[in-house]
Amino acid sequence: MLTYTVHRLVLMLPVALVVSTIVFLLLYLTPGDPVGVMLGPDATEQQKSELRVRLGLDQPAHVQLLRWYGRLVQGDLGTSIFLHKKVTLAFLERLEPTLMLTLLALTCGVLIGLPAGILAAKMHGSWFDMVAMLTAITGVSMPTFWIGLNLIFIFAVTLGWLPVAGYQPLSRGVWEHLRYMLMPAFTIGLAQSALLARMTRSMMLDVLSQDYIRTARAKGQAELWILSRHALRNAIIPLITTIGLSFALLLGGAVISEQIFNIPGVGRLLIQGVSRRDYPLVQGVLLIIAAVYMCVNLLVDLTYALLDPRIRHSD
Amino acid sequence: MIRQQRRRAEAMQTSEAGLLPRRTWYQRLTRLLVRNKGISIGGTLLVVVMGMALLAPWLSRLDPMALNPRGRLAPPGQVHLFGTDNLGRDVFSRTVWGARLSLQIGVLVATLTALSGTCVGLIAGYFRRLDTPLMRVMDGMMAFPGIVLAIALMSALGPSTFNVITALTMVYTPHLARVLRSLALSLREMQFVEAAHAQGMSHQRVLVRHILPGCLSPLIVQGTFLFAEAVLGEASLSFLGAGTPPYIPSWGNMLGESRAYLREAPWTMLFPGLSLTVTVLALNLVGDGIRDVLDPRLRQG
Repeated sequence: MLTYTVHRLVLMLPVALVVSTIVFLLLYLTPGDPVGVMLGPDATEQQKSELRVRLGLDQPAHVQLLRWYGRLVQGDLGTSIFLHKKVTLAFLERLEPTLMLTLLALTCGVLIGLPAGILAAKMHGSWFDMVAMLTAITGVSMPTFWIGLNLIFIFAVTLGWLPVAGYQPLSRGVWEHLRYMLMPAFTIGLAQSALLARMTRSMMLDVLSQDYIRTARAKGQAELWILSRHALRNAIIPLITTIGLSFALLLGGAVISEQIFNIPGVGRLLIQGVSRRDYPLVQGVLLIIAAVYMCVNLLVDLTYALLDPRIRHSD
Repeated sequence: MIRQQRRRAEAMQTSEAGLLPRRTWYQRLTRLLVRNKGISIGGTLLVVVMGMALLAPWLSRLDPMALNPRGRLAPPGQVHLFGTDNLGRDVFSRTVWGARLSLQIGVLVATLTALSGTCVGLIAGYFRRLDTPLMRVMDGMMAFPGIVLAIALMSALGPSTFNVITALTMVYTPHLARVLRSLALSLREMQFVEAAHAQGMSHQRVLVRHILPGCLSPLIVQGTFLFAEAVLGEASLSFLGAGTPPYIPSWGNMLGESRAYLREAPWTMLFPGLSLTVTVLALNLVGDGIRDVLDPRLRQG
């Protein structure tokens, strides 16, 4: 297992190099002078050249790139132009809402998606299967933000049960926190559960048609036991990959959900950075998001290897 | 020609004998397509949306961009079928014109991504030396959640319809490249490829004549899903204010603006969202259907 972990970590290095280079190159994609775009049309020539020196843009490109790598190795992601603070600090301040949002959404997605998929596979061809799969494909097709807008319209505007938007930190009490987080988390969770339900169903159908399931049934084992002990155990491994891959969906969903529900999280920080053309902020947040995503993928691969020895020993 | 004639003759014989009628490949294909529920339902919905997009100038008599501050947030009625938005623009004509934009962007992004993804994937899968460098770059691009990378690209490129297409193509290319690379990797080891090499065929010819045709059916399926994905991607970007410029009638823009007026004018949210969902649903149904039809293992009876 250790060899496998080290092997995977080494494989991550070139990807990390590519990721940081892509983020660096973003500034070069900007047509014209990025400093002029950042400061707006009213900026004086002196302000522009000051910012240029501060960002190191007066240096030749290869020097800039090397300096960029050097700073990243030291863990310095730069300073936001508008917030006047370190990007890492700005990120940490906004972490709690996004973390809670993704965790709640994941719980929501798994709690709805897994049982729905298992039941649909168990009752393959029944009305439940059909309704569940129709709902799932509609759920996959519905844009996250439209689900959110509908939820606001139903539960906040019409029924008045939940607040329209906003955020209360956990320190204000769990219940108050949940009241604000319920709709945003459900918005992302619903889309994810649709995806999970579809995957779970096809995995379970695959496993349920295997010979050993028939043997278990012939032995007269209880159906619940067969489902949980024989079928789900084998279907769960590819499902973990799906959950890991859908983490991208969760993060992307969080950006959109935070925008709809006015939640001061990382996604909103990114969007604010984009609209103010705060390039150091955008670059820093992008790097952190990519790093988190890569770590999640690594964890998924390691879990996979832990559960299935064949993967560990294949290379 | 002769084979066709023979086949026709056979078909006539068997039908005269009262056995199962033989069909031409075309008839078989249509039968498979119509029999598949997903394709027939999704296809019908798609035709409706395409009709909306093509006939936009005739369906809507009102200018989708004309402002009318006095008639703002008017509920659906005889003049304004779907009501008006916060600036008094007709929601019906904006929805209809939005279909045009969504489908245009969807088709373009799917086609461009198919082209670039196929190129990268086939080259990486076929030429061993280029595999690692190409795929590491693709891995790097896939290390970002799709929508986040798209937002970042849009922030660098600036808001315009052209840039939306560029950004979305760049975001989806690695995913398709990965699929085609693994296909090319397995096709390369096939005997017919070896035979082609033995005959002295050039790499380019082998790629185009022998490897590419083997990738076509997954490419069609992936292309349909890419279409759906691109329509959603454009809407999400526009919703976040990082997509098409706000004055352009796009479903994402309309939904973004509707957020502040949910209480006064829910119709500004309902109609573009419904059109968006129906379009993406139709494409997903067709994609699922085509995948089932093209995969003989899933085909029944």
